[in-house]
Amino acid sequence: MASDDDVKAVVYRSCLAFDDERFDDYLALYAAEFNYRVTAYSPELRQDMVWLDQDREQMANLLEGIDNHHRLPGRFTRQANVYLIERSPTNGHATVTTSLVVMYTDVEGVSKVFAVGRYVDSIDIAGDQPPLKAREVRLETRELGPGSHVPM
Amino acid sequence: MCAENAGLREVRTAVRLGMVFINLDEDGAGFDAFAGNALESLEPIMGAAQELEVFHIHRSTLRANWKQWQETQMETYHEYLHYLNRHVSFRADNYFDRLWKVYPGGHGTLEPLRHKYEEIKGWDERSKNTLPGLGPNEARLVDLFPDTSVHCRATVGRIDTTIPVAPGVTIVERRGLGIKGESTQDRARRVLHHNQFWGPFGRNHPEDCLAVEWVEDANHDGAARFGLIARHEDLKAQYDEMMRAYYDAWGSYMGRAASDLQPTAQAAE
Repeated sequence: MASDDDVKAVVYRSCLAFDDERFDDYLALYAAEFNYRVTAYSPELRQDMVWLDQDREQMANLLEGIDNHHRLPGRFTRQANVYLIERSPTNGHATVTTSLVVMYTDVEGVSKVFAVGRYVDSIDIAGDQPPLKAREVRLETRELGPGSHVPM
Repeated sequence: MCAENAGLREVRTAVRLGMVFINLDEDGAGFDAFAGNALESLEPIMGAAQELEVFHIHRSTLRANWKQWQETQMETYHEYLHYLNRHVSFRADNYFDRLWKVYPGGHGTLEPLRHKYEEIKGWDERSKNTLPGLGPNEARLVDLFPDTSVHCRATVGRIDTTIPVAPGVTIVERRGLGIKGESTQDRARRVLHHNQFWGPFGRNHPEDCLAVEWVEDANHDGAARFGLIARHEDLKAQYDEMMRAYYDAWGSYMGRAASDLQPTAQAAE
């Protein structure tokens, strides 16, 4: 069974892989079937909004096609801190809550906060290499400037 | 001072196709005189018995003048920068031949188009659960002077408005539209279609925003002092008549032509 350090490592590796845009390495951290969502609460609508909802095939296609687009020329850096690992005693998975700050550094070297939120991950902890089964990127930030082709 | 001048003023409003329009100018024209028939192509969609509702709202603050954003709604040649449009739109049968219909006052609409979503890897046709009045894969666009656009892409709609903050700062406000009371499954499909193009993590929205900022940069640093509005293609999709009508209307409100290069001209206008 995966230890807390194993669980933290998969979260942190996911940040490094996305920061470096190593998309194959990023996808390798997930289970064969997974769900990835970006959500935010709208005070105007008084309900959650879904800004991205992808399964493996959709996410793989999205990441494969990123270089087809004109996009922000700088670099994202994800600062993650795993706050909580809640293990289910019966079904071999853990719910992991991670604080997330995404910085954007432009080509001039100026860094600014791009987004603040949390990862809420469902991770299979039955083995030593715990795969992500689901990730919800729960954003507090709703003003993302031009937005991003690369998910958070 | 008298009570009539000290109390709250009544704000002029009009409700059309579920949208509320507000005019703070007490001396301005009424809404029907202002808009004319510019919303007619949206009537089968937004005026149907099946009500629509907003499921998505987000704002993007851009380093650009508000008119720069609105230009992306009126000229279609910027679509060359979009990977999606080069595949989904340009490969549609009548993309270049559909005609603009320009209304008095700087409003306009493009003839409908049937996109080819299946040209993108992993995407399907938008043939099921289309918005009322729309056929499979059908798209419609309405520009309402000066800063409102309504886009429909078969299953989903969007309303864009802008908030001019400063000469070079604009907040774009975007609302996504679906069918009120639909099933969770149908809504999820509609949200997916919305987000593919128009969400903050969509494929087109970041490109539109970046292009607007880059054009603004080029205007300001002298690399491109002028916007050239000169295409004549008999009202076809990439004809500039919509842009000319827009800036004619802008000029009539401002009391000077948009091409007037007097030193006193301010981008904030």
